[in-house]
Amino acid sequence: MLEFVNVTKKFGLVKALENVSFFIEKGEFVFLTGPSGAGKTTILKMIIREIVPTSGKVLFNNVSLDDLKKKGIPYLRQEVGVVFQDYKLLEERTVKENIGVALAIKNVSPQERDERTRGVLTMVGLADKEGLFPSQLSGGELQRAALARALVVNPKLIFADEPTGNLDRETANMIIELLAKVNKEGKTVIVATHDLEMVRKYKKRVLKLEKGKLVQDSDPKLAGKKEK
Amino acid sequence: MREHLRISFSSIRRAPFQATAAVMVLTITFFVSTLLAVLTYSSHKLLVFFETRPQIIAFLKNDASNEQIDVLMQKLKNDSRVESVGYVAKEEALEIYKEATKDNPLLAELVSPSIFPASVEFSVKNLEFTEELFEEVKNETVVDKVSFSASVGGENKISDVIGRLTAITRYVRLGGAVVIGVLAVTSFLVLMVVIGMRITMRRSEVESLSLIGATNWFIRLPIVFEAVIYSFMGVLIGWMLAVVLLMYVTPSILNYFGSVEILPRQSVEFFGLMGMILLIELAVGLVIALIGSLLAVSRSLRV
Repeated sequence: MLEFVNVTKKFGLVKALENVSFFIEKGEFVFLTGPSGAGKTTILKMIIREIVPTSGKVLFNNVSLDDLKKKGIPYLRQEVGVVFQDYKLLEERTVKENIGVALAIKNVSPQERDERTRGVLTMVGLADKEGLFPSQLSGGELQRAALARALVVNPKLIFADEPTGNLDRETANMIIELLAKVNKEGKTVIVATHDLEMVRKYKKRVLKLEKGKLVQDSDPKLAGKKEK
Repeated sequence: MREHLRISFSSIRRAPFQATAAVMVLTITFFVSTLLAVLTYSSHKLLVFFETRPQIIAFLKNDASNEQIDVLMQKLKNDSRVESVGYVAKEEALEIYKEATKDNPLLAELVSPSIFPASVEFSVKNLEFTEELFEEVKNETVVDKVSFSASVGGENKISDVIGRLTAITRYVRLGGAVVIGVLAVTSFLVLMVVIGMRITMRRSEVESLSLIGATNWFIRLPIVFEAVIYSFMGVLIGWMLAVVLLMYVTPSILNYFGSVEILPRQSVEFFGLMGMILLIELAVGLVIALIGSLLAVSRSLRV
């Protein structure tokens, strides 16, 4: 599904990522952990081809993203549902419109857009807030609206960047539960977080970054290999 | 499409002053363009009038008898090169003089019909016959001298009249083209600046759309539509203002020019002409909007 092969990314003299390699299979739930500045968001940016590696390769569904032409980038991004750290909701549009726009981008008919938007809003518990603007929502609601927008397009991969960052424990749990539910339906989920309590609670595969280096991969298969 | 149009209208509502500035500049452009288009039409009509209906006046000698005059008129009527022939008696000549000097009645009182010669006026079917007919009539025994009725600046030959009118028409067209060009470039630049400002205002929205997979066209279309809306509004308002003004002044203009139909007299023809101008302006407005907005988008967006 997603593979990083010896990926290094430099911003001037600063190494944001150094020789990072991992493989995530379809249907996996992975926590990407590490302190701020460890390189989690850099990985997200590479997955959606916002930036390219200085060296190494990023493969999505066996296609090297380096080889992707500029025209193909929007279509890659339509395959990846991203919940951004700062939500990136459109301030001038209502919750419903924010979710609908993701479907409009994929040329979904207005009628189907309405149905799918209502469905996903019910799923994230925002059905009664569809007419509100982002500025009228709480942090947890914004996070859920962003998650709804990521889910509505039925993406192959969901990447949530610090989805519980500014939330209370209860709301944070609710968000992760939602992601776990989506994962059970077969979607690949990557959650970038520095909330170790959360990581311990869910007992999923963990990729730990420190200063741009992958210092831990709790992939059971890798653990098996090490035991052998 | 409906989604893009909705976004465009919502964007216009968000910054009404910029929208008004853009529409006003475009309105001025298309108001002036409409008037210049009508002026070009009128000057062309005037030129055609003189080209196709050159009047030659043969002033008759005082001692010319009625029989001699009839012979000359018959001769001209039978000439295949002549379109129409008319006789102006001394009394009629005085009336024409009085009409021409009605602002100063003293001038008319000082003259009597006897000082005005009778004349034969005629028009030719084709301009190229004028010179030869002019010479032929000059040699008639009853004719004192020959002149042209159409004179813009004291010309002696019909070709000079036509030449002057052609020059005036050319200057009207050229001057109009220059004025329209300057206004079009100004509108184009204003449109680019307004659209550029709009994109700056929407930068975070554009970035978000790009990150969730919007194609370049999905992002650009509402911006292009916005420019097209400004342009079409400018065309329609400018055109309507010009139509109202023309409807107001047309009767006076037609009255002033008399038989020269420099503007259509019938409403159907008038609105036919204005409709054609509107269609051309809409096409030009569309081109200005498309080029202006796409240039602004490509300069401001790197998505």
